[in-house]
Formats: sequence, C-alpha cells, structure tokens
Amino acid sequence: MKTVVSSLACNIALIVLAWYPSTAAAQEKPPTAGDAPGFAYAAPAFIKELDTRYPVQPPVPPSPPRYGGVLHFPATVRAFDPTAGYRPELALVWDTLTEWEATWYFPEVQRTPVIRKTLATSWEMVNPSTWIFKLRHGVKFHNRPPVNGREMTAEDVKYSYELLKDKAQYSTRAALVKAIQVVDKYTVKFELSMPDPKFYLNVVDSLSPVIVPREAVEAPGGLAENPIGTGAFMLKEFAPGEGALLVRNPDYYLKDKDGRQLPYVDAVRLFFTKDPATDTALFRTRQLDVMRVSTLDVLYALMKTVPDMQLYRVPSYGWGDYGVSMALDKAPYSDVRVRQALSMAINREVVAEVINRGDAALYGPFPWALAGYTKRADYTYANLGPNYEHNVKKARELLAAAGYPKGFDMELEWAEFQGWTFNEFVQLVARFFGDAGVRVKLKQLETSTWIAKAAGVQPFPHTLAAFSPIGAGPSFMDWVYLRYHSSFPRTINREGISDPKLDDLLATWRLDPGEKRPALQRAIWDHLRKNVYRITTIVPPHYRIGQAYVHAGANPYCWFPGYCSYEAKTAWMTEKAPSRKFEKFAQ
Amino acid sequence: MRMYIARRFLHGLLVLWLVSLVIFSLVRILPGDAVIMQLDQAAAPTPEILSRARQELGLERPFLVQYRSWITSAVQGDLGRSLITRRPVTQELLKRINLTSHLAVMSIIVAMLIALPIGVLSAVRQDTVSDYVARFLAVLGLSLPDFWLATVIITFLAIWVQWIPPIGFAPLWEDPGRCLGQLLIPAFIIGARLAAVSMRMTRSSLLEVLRQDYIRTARAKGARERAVIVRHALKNAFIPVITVIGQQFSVLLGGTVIVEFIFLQPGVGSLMLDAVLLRDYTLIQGAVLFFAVVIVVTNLLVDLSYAWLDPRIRYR
Amino acid sequence: MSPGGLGALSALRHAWGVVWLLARRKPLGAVSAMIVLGLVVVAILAPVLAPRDPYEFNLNERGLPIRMQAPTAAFPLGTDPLGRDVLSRIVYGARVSLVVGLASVMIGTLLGTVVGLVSGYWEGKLDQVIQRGVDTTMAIPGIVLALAVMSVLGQSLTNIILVIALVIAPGASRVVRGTVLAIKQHTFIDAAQALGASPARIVARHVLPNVFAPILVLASVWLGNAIVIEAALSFLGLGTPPPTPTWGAMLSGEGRRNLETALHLAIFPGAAISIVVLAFNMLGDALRDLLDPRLRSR
Repeated sequence: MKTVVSSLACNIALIVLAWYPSTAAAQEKPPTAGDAPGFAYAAPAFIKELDTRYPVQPPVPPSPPRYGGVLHFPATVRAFDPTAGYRPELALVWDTLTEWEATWYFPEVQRTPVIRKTLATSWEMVNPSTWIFKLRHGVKFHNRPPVNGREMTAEDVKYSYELLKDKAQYSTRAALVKAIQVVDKYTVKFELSMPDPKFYLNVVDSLSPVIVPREAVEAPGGLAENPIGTGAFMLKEFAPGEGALLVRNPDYYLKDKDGRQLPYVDAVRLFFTKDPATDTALFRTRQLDVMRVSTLDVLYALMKTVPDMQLYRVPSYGWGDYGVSMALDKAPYSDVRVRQALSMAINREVVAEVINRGDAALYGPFPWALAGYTKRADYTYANLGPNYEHNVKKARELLAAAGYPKGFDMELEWAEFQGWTFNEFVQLVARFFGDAGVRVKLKQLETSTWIAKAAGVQPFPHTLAAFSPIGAGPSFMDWVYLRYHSSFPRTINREGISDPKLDDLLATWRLDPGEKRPALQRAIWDHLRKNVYRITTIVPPHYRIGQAYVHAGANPYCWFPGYCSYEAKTAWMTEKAPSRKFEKFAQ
Repeated sequence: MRMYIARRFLHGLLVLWLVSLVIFSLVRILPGDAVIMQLDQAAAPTPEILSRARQELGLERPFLVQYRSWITSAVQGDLGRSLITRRPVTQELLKRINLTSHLAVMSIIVAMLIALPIGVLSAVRQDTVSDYVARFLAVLGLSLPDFWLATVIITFLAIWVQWIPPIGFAPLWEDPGRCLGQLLIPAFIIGARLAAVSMRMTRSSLLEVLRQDYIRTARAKGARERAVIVRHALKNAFIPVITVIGQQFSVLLGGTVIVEFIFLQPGVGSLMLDAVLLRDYTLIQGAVLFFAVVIVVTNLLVDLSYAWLDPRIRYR
Repeated sequence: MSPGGLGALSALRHAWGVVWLLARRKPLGAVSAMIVLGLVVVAILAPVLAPRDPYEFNLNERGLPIRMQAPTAAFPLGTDPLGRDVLSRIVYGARVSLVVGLASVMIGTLLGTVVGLVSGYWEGKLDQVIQRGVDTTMAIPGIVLALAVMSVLGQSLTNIILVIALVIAPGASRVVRGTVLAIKQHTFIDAAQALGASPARIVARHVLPNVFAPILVLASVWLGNAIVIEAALSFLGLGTPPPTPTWGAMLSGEGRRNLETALHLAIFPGAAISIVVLAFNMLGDALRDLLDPRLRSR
C-alpha cells in the first residue's frame, strides 16, 4: 500500500511539474542572432535559379500537337453531379456559357482577361439590365441514353438556370438574374434584377450554372447516375475515394486556333489523393502528369529527382494568402487604431521566410491587379502604406492611444488545412503580437469546424487565421464588392464590415458604366489599406509542375487541383509519355 | 444453452440500438454540416440558400423525426443515401468492404507468419538471447506510428525504386498480380503491429501450457521435446491466440484508416474518416452501425464458443 | 524539502529496489526500467537539461529564423521550421509525453477498474446494464469519439488525455471484470462473506491485490500506446496544439512534411518515441513474467 501511495504522490508531483510550460515561456529572451550559418539549402540561390531557368513567358509548345494518350492529374471530386455542388473538375463534363482562356492573368505577360467562347458565341448589352446571348449552333450533348446526342438549345440554358439558381454553389451569380427568356432556338435574353454593365463576366466560371439536359436530370438517379453534358469528356467510371476515368467526347464542338478538334488526349484519369506525400510519390513514378506544389521545399525536393520537369511559376492573384480575420463588431477590434497596430506588429519578411523561404509577395486588402498595380515591381510597402510596415514601437503607441497601454488578451483560432501551413503562421503571429503587448492564446480547431467559421456560418469570438475571402475570377465584384459591402450577410462578408463611406464608394463603383472604375477601385484600395479591416500579410506564388512529356495549355491556375480541368482540353502528350490503357480506372 | 444464446442475442440487439442512438446524436453535435463542406471556397451563399440546401437533405426536421425515419428504414436494410454523393450507403459500404476484407485477411496472414514462429521460439527458449531478440523485434512493430511508417515507405520507395503500389483496386480473383502489388505493403505495415500483439499472446499462452502437468507427463514418458511441443502444447496454446485474432479482426476493419489514407486504398476505414470530416451523417451512421453489427456478431460468436468449451459458463 | 520532493525521493528509493530485483532476474526488464527512469529524470529536469529555450525562434544575422538547419555544434539535433532548437524541444517533449501517458493511463485504468469492479462483484442487473454501456462505447470508432470531444470541448492537452483515457477504460474494465469473476470462483470469498465481512473489505483485501497485477501489466503497455495515439491524433489534426512541443506533433507535423529536405526533424522524435514505447512494452513483459506465478522461469 505504501508503494502505491508514494508512487501516486510521485506521479502527481510530476504532473504538477509538467503543467508549467509557462515557466519555459517566461524564460524567453529577446531574439539574438544565432551562430549557425546558412540554411538547409540555399533558398535565395534556388529562387534565382528558378527565375532564370523558368522564364515568366511559358515556352511555346511544339506544333502540331499529337493526338492520343491518357492524362493523369490529382483532383478532389465527391460527386459528379452539378446539382450537389460544383467543383472545377466538373468542367470536363459540363460547360458554362463561356470560360476563362488559360493564362488569363499574369502580370507583365497577360493583363487582359481572355474569355473563351464555348456555348455562347456573342453577347450584347441592350441596357445594363438586359443582355442577349447568342448560342453556338450544332452543340451536341454526349451521345448516351437518355439524351442520345441531341442538340443543345436556348431551352436548355433556361432550364439549367432555373434548376440551379437556388443551389448554394451558384446562388450568388444567379441572384443577379431575374428572368430568362428564350428568344429563339439559339438566343437567350437575361433580365437582371440590378443593372450590371459587365454582366458578361457573370457567366464565365465555375460559380455560374452549367448547362444540363432535362432528360438526364429527370431520369432515375438524376445527374449522378446520368452524368451527361456538352463537355470535352464523358464520364466512364467514377470510383469514390479512388478516382475517375473520363474518355474523349468525339463530337466536341471546340476547335483550336488551327481548326483542329479538341481535346487531343484520349482520356483523363483523376486521382483523389488526400496527402501531399502521395502526390509527390505519384509524380516521381510518372503516374501524375500535372499537379500543384504548395511550397518551395517540396518543389526543390521534386526537382532533384525529376530534373526535366516543367514548371510554371506564377505570382498569385490572391489565392493562397495568409491573413487574420477579426471580430469587428466588438472591442478592441472595432477600433481602427488597434487593427493598425496589429498589422504593424507583423514582420512580413519573416512570415515570407517561414512560409515559403522568402518566395512570396506582399498582399494587401484585395488583389493588386484590381487596384491598378500591374507590375510585380509595384508590390511594395510604399503602395501599401505605413500600416503594413513592421514597426513595433508605433504599434505600442497606437495601442496605448486606443486605451490599451498594457495590451490585451486575444484568442486566435486556426486549423490545419491542406495547402496552407497555418501551424507555423499562427505561432509567428502570436509571437509578433506578443512583442506589441497583446497576449495571444492559440486555439486549434478541428478542420471542418474551422471551415464553418471561415465560411461565416459560425462566429468566432476574437480572431481567426484564414485566407482572405476569394473570388472565382478576376472580378472586382467577387473579390471586393461582395466581401466588403455591409448589405451582405456573414456568409459572404465574413467579418461583417459595415462602413458607410465604403458602402458609398462601392455603390458608385457598381453603377458606373466603366470609365471611372479604375480610379474608383484605387480609391477603395486606399480606403481599405488605411482601415485594415482584415490583416493580410503575404501570398506565395503558384507552382504548377508538369512532366516533360506533357504539353498542357500552360494554365497557371492549375495551382489548385481541379483547375487543370480547363487545361485538359488543350493538353497533349508526346510519344515519350508512358502508354496507358483506359478501359477501366484500375489499370 | 438455448436460453443463453437467446439472452446474448437480445443483449446484442440492445447494444445495436444504443449505438444507433449515440452515433445519431453525436454527429449532430459536431459543428458544421454537409452543405458547408461541399462548397467551393469562392462560393458566397446567403444563409437562406444554405438553409434551403439543408432542408433538401432533410436536416432541418426535428431530431426525433429524423431519427425515426432513419432507424425504421435501417432496420429493413436501407441505410439511406449519402448526403454528399447521393448514392445509397449500403452500396458504398459493400464496395469498400471488398478491399478492407482483402487487406484484413492479408494483414492477418502476414502477422501470423511473423508472430507464430517468433512466439514459439521465444517461449521455448525463454529468457535466452533468442527470446530477447525475438521480443525486441516484435515490439518494434508497435513502437512506430503506422502513418509515419507509411509515409516513409511511400516516399522512399518512389525515390529509390521508382515504384509505388498502384492505385485502383482490383480484387484478387480479377487481377492477382495487381492486387498483391497494391496490398502487400499496406498489409505489412498493419500486420507488423498485429504481429507484436499476437506474438506476446502466443508466447505467454505457450508458456502457460508448457507448465501444465500433461506436458510433464509427456516428457516423463520419454517423448522428444519437439514432439511434446508440436503434438501437445501448440494445439492448446493456440486457442487464446485465435481469440485474440478474432477480436483484432473487428479492430482491423476500422483500424486501417491511416494506411488507406496514404496509399489511397478505398476501404471502410477511410470511408469513415472522410464521412466524419465532411459531416456526411447518413454515411457515418451507416458505417458505424455496420461496424457495430460486426463487433456484436463477433462477440456473440466468441461468447458462444467459450460457452461451448467451458460448461461452467453455460449454466450461470 | 517540499512534500512533493519527499514523496519523490521515497518513491525513487522504492523504484530502485524494484529495479535491482528486475536486474537480477530479467536483464531486459531492468534495461527498460532504467530507460523509463531516465525519461522521468529528463522530464523533471528539462529546464536544466535543455540547452536553449524550446519556444524561441533562433535568428541569423539578417534577423530571419534559421529554418530546418541540419545538426551542427550549435544545434546538436538541428532546428525546426520556425528556427527552434530540436534538442530542447525533444527534452521538453519528454514532459508532455510522460504527462499524457501517465495521466491518461491512470485515469483510464482507474475508471476501468472501478467500473469493472462494480460490474464484476455485484453482477446481476447492474452488471448487465454496465456491460451494455461498455459494449456501446467500444463499438463507437475512436475517431468519431475523439472528434466529438475535441469539437465540443475544444482541443487541449487535458482533452487529449480525456480522449485516450476513454479509449483505455472499456478494455481495462473488461480485464478487471474478468479477473473479479475468476476470483469469485474461489471459496475464500464465500467464506469471507459468510463471516460477515463487508463488501468494501472483501474488495480491498482479496480482490484488489489480485487485480493489481494484470492491471499493472496492461497499464505499462498502454503507456506506450498512449504516446503513439497522441502522435496519430496530431496526424489527424487533433493533437496537442502548438506551441507546446510534443514528440507526436513533431513527428506527424514537420517530421512527416519534410522527409526529404530535413530528415532530422523526423528521426529524432521518432527515435525518442520508439525507445520509450519499446521500454514500456519490455517493462510490461518483464512485470508480467515476474508477477504471474504461472509464467515464472524454470
């Protein structure tokens, strides 16, 4: 008995002792220069090498393209059913009225977004609230029962819009459309609930309703069992949790600029990988042809073993940034001085170093390009202002002026989310805020809980580490108007920003037919960077890698698994590609 | 005996009902739901649209209504439709069970091939160097986390050998080469862990049997040591080992999650993990209920075999 | 000296006695016991043993963190992605691993023992009800349970301990119940009851000492498992939240992510976990061999 008691006492003593991690924290000394030289590998030299070896203008693929082959890339699709929720991979099977041409945006190379005309061949604005779209003749749905290859008409467009406009994925876009009329077999008229001089941007991407045939929707099992559309590929096999196999649509209407019919490849195989280690292993063993890599470290490791790979390294428009959202409706975050102080406390050089070894760009309240900054040389502290420069002394002064001379306590919520290293980011941020006197308690959430908070469905008490709310294309409407105007609920305007002056600016922008928009956008930029409604830091570039034997349409937006779908239409494989069968998925 | 079986059967049903209730409530406590998890990052829906989407999935009905409708069809064999893929849950489960059973059986074979010889050796030469080395090796299988081992293997296989287990499941009878290539390495990782547990069991059970009187008798009769071990000891020693394997089988069905995740094998374990992360209520409920049925049936069979072997239990 | 210190000292003396006994009979067990003791010492003396602060970002001349540096003289086990010294983090990680292991196993086996005792001793309706509850708990997959607890109660060291304890408890209760039922077969229990001894006395005097041995063996094995479970939870994103250094988080986070560029980040926590789990398992084996009279060496 005595042994039991004494060992119990010993255990309790241990537990009490071990619950003093704060003693360790109290030992923190101010940072001193370490005495070890260099890094695990010389990152700055590697980045320079990338700049020279992979110039911004992608190499022009040889001509003519070769037909045949099976393209492999990673994706995440849970259901091949547009009514259940859309993913960009579904663009392989279903088309929207128009879509983005590859390379639609790249500073210094391509600044004007280019729209590829798929189902719609032209559009005309009768007045800002009425638009007429003319459809392409001779577009056939896939030749499978129950649709059997019949032609797509304006009736299908009307049907699709009315079916999908209430679904969560498409509702924002479709909310603008009050009514659709069929003018004739190939002409559709949209009547909008609010005037929009750039409505043609509304129908371009994955957030707009895709065109589906009525027969497939009404057949037993719906679209999930009858995945028929007008797209370049037909779904042959869908193995949930493993992948999917799609084969070429022989009647696809789109041709390349030399008049050759698309697509070039015979089939596409998707792999629903979950883990980056699996992705890199698959790429090394030539089972994946194109994919995205999220950090410079992984890129470096891959390059060592696959030296002949192709790389498309693109500065990010705004996807993939690292930021902190704050609960603006209560103190202390309702005070602009506090927000400015927090933003100033962060050393963005260090963040760039930790997140991606320095290969990252500064990021402001919304994409640089939308504020009129078109060159990467413009992405500077000067254009962001003093609120984004590292200045701990000033931060402390601001906090004191706002009434927090001794700082305050903050709870920063975050979660692991694939593709981001929030783990390291929040520890850095906690340290920086601590230097300014704000005591941060890190609270890790389970990923799905965090997703709900980032989507505005659940509130967060203080702050949330999350990427900025994004848009689907290069549209100011998506990235700024929806996200900052007070009339939108929290599921759209995540922080609930309510600023009358900002609302005015946004409303003016909205009603302007076009000439004054650039100046207005710049004015909104200036207003936002002074008010720091959301703390933003840096955004790493996109790394899209491809095997040497693939010439894909050079779409930089294959950074996110799924956007490669657009690329699959214009990709082709050389003879050096491994020969692959495509009768079933497991081959 | 019949009373005993009937009673155990009723107990099993009670447990199944309790499990269904608990899992039904538990998943609805988790924050977030299937509607949110399916959204594209760029989508910006209003709360009304989200609410309507939830209504379509039947998630806005009162708790008891939802439970009643689910349990009544579940009892008849219809586990409902997945909230994410809209396919019947039973269909999804059956597809995955094929792979998981393959994996489970292979893991058990691997484990047996490792554990039995080492366990016997270890027991027969207790406290000698062979014993220590054997036990050390076996326990090694327990000490490294399997996800880590899986990542190391897949990464370095790809680098050194330019090969990784192929993706895309083919059952053994359709394509044995591919199937073996796919499952052998994951089976080895899982089996190593199982081997550690089974080896211990084999060793201690054999040690116990070797102390019994009838073994001493056999030795006194002048039988050779090997005959003693093989003819008398092993048979009796294996009964508890089989029990352990039986128990581990149901653990295996759910415990292969992490390995499946990394090698992209679509088994029941990763189905469960995905379903939980995506808050696919019907799928989670269906999968858990399925597991519970397997566990309850296994326990029932084990209890019945005990009762059959040990008459004392029957009459309590 | 503080009461904790006195308790620790006397426990250490007892522990030394056990170790000596083990060393003579079971060398492997003795080695494992030494390793476990070493772990305890490292955990207690962490502030003294660690060369640097495990939370500090070490910066270079340009003021940037020295990320993922391979082992050098200044940083014997290298640095992690935030520039922190891996050796210090491993030393402090011993604390968390030990706390997680000990606390979860203690709570789990305590809970399991109580439930098993009650269930086994009193049998009848109470036993049936409790057993059905235990069956139900064992039928719910661990992941779902862990997620439910973390989502509702939040993610913290305490909740991880709770989750692991909940995983251990049903198994422990089964073992205890089985042992109690077996003991009840013996006539001395009936005799004691006939003599009018109270249930509490019977339990304390006759049942508990016999239950102690199997539970101890089980616990020593579970100590190792708890550490591995913590690593698995970190892998799923449900582990000890940063910046607390734990071997599991180091292995499943930065260790796994950087296998190719910074192998040192995975090797050292992995080695630490393996050695400690091995030691616990070997210790359990040795204890079982010693305590179970049926298994003693010839």
